[in-house]
Amino acid sequence: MNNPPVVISEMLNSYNTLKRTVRRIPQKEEVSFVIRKYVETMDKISIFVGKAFSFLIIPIVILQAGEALLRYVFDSPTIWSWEVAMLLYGAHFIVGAAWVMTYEGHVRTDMLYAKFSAKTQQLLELILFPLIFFPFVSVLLWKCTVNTLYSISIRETTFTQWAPPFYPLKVVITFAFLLLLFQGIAKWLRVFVLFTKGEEI
Amino acid sequence: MSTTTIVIIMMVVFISILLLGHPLSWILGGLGVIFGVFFWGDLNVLNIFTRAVYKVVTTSSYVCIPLFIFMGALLEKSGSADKLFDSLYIVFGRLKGGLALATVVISALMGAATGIIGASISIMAMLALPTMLKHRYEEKLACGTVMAAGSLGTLIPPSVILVIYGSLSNLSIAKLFAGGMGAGICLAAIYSIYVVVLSYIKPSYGPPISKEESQKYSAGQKAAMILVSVVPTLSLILLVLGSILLGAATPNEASALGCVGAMIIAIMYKNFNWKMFKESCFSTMKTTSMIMWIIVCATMFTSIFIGLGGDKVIADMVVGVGENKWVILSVILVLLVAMGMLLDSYGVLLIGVPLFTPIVYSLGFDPIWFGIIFTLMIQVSVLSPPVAYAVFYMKGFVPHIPIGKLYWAVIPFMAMQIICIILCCIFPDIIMFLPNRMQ
Amino acid sequence: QTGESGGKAAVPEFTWKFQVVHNPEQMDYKMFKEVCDQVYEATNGRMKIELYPSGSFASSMEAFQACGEGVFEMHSSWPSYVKGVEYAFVPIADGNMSMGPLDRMIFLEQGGGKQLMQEAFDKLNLQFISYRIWPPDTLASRYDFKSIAEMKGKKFRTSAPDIAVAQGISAITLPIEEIFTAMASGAVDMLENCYLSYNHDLGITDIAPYGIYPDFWNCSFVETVVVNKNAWNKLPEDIKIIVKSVFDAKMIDVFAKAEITSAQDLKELDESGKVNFRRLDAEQFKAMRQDMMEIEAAETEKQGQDSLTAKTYETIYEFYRNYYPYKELTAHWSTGLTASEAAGFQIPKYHKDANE
Ligand code: NA
Ligand code: NA
Repeated sequence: MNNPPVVISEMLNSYNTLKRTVRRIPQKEEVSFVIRKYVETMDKISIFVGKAFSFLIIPIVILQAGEALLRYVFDSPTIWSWEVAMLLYGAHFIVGAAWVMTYEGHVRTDMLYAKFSAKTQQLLELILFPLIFFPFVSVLLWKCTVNTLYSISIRETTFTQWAPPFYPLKVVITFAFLLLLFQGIAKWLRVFVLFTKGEEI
Repeated sequence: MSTTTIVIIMMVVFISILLLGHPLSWILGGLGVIFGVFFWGDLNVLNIFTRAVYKVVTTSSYVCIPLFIFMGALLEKSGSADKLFDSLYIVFGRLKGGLALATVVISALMGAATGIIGASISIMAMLALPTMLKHRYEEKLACGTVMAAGSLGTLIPPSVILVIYGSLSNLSIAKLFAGGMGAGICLAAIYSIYVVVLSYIKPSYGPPISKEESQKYSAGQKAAMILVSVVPTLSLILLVLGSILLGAATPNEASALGCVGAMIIAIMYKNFNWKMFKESCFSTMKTTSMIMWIIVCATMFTSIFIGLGGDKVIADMVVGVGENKWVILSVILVLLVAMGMLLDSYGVLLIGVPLFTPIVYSLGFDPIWFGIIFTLMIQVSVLSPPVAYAVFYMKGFVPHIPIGKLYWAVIPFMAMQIICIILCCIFPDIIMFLPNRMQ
Repeated sequence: QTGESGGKAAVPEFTWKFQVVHNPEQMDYKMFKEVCDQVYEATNGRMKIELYPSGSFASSMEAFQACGEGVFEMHSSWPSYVKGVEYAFVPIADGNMSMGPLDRMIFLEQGGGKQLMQEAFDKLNLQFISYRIWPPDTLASRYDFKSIAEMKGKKFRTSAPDIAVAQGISAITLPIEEIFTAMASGAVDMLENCYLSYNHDLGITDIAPYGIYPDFWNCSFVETVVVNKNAWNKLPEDIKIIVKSVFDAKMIDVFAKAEITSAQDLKELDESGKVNFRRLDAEQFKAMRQDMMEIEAAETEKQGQDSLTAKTYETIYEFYRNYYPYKELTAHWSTGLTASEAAGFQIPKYHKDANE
């Protein structure tokens, strides 16, 4: 192919690089080592976990396509295939939120936002994250933890006759909120440092 | 504080913070938490949020979302999608707006395989959009076509929205599916006419291939292109469809078969390698997460909205609008769009069906007919700014296009949806032709 | 509703949210609406129960737990949805190849069933208030099966696959959103979902020309009305009595209504020739009840001899031992007769027997 296809993720990456370059402000002084280290480590963890869980799509394909084959061709469907696929689907997307946050992939309306100055944008983030995001994620983390511990204590299963354990998925969900909380803190610190000291992390 | 006041505060705060640019998911979830704490009157309400997460992760009809996105990613990253649309561009290249037309037709076909908006828009955003933008289609036309045509799947059966509508209102799902078919084809036809006519009036919107470039390819070369680049990928799409219609697969399984087919096509084109496969997995995860988290948080917001009495506030608005049945119907339709500005489609169904169906039936409208009109309104609501789920899903694929532009892009398509609804009011047979012929 | 009629409380002392598993156009939903209105009247406006359809606050799978957690105060649904928390709900409230509706009611009232039910709901912080028993499910089919043996290798959507698998049937547990499409396209050959008028309303009878009545696999589903314990304990005694009485009275009414509606639908479907119904002979039941005994023993083993499940099965078997011999001895004279023989005049029948 002479013209390589416009790959969405490439567009996404180049856009983010561009955005960062534009926003880069000359460094005045080095940020405290701990914050920089924390932010960079969280980014790495979130991306790594997201990438690791992204391979769950493979067993989902195998289970669902295999089930169609087993039933239609061999007349021997399973009672568990769709349920395993469903539990994997839940684990798949839920942990991805932190990764999506590392590259600002959670959709926002930029109609007014884009017209604000960089300083105003940063200030808005610094105010709105503690008002909206942190209460949400903290409450969910707290409630999911309580529920998951109970679920483990009674070895909760799903309601189907096959009745696989349900608590592993609940553990994954709780972990997803934990990761999202830590990534949210990293994101806030990043904006904070940019706002106060004008330094990019 | 009265329920009406609470609901108005909720709407105002929601839209203000949205315009200030906080991410949609956190607004839906965060405002749910905040309004729950302050207005529910019982902190136990906070358990509603975990239950909403557990509900979405165990909704098996959503499993097709990551699968269709994966299929799209595989076709995109292996270059198969680009081959398909590039060839269509060359072969039908003299037709102005040809690629947009192909997008509508292929979306309508895909709509027969998937009934969930997030899935269809994502796949068309991966398959058709890059090629349209590459060939200098006007951004608003290209994006608008993908968003509007990508929403057709909820109307063209099978559709999860229609299944839920049928169970909420005790109507035959078979008849709703038959009715949705007529309206879906009508809407697809209106979109097709629009993209072609617009491109003829303003050729810069959907530029055709130049005469010289078209003449570079002989008829034989064009035929070969169809055989090599169009037939395999298009057959895959038809195979996915066919597997549902033939009874070989459920919609979830069909989407998984689609992924297998996409891999086979990539292998045939000799573009299949570990890097491309890995990248497809990664981009599937990123897109699915972005879309599903909106759905999770919207589910939370909807529960809080209903619990705080939002449904009753809407019911009060229908009271006292007069006696004329068309006036009452219009008010209901406007309220549905207003609800769609705040809630996801499921929320609109959950509140709208119990509120409006008794009124509509008492006015003498046919239940199946109204079910389809209702579903058409849901199509309008997913496109209508500022809270337009189709636009938000789309934005994830085109972060460089400002959302204001996407809002403008949907306006003409919303107008066409309204035209379709008016046509269905004047000629109810568009919807009722098939259902009336069932037994 | 602030005190327009004489003597009503201006503002209710108690306002509850009540999520049911039904949807607004269904008979069951309207019935619950009446109950809520009656409670409001009977308490002179002191107690208001606001009704919400299925899925308003939590999905069916999550709703019992959400109610126990206090998200809403009252809930009505099938407790099999929380069998993942307490398996004993299956034998108490559902039980494949088990009792018919009337026997189930006698078991719950007098055979220790209600006490077991409360014991199971204790785990969820829920007070068991009332219940109703559903008419038998029907089996909707694309083929005219005359026996269980003919179903071998056919694809069957069911929520209780064990007993079907024991008969060599290919059991599939498809989620509810997919069953319609699966049946219409032929991805499944038969399905059990709910009782007849319910399936009829959803249009399943439009796509499945054959029916087996009653469905063998699931019998006498029990729908339970429960209240969050903290909310319940806040009520004064007089209102507690009113709530319980009003619900109990309505449950009997609706039990009878669902039975007769199903009979009328059966008549209508049969006379229009739209669905061909067949009743399998009792020999089929006998063999499958034996298979079911093994499944029940295996499940007791799995849950442990000290489990509520083990206790429930023992209580049920004790009920069989004490009640069934008496029931056999004193069975009404019409038992085993045809409809016409029992009535004493000619009544057309609405189904085929297996040997026809
Ligand atoms: Na569809
Ligand atoms: Na909207």
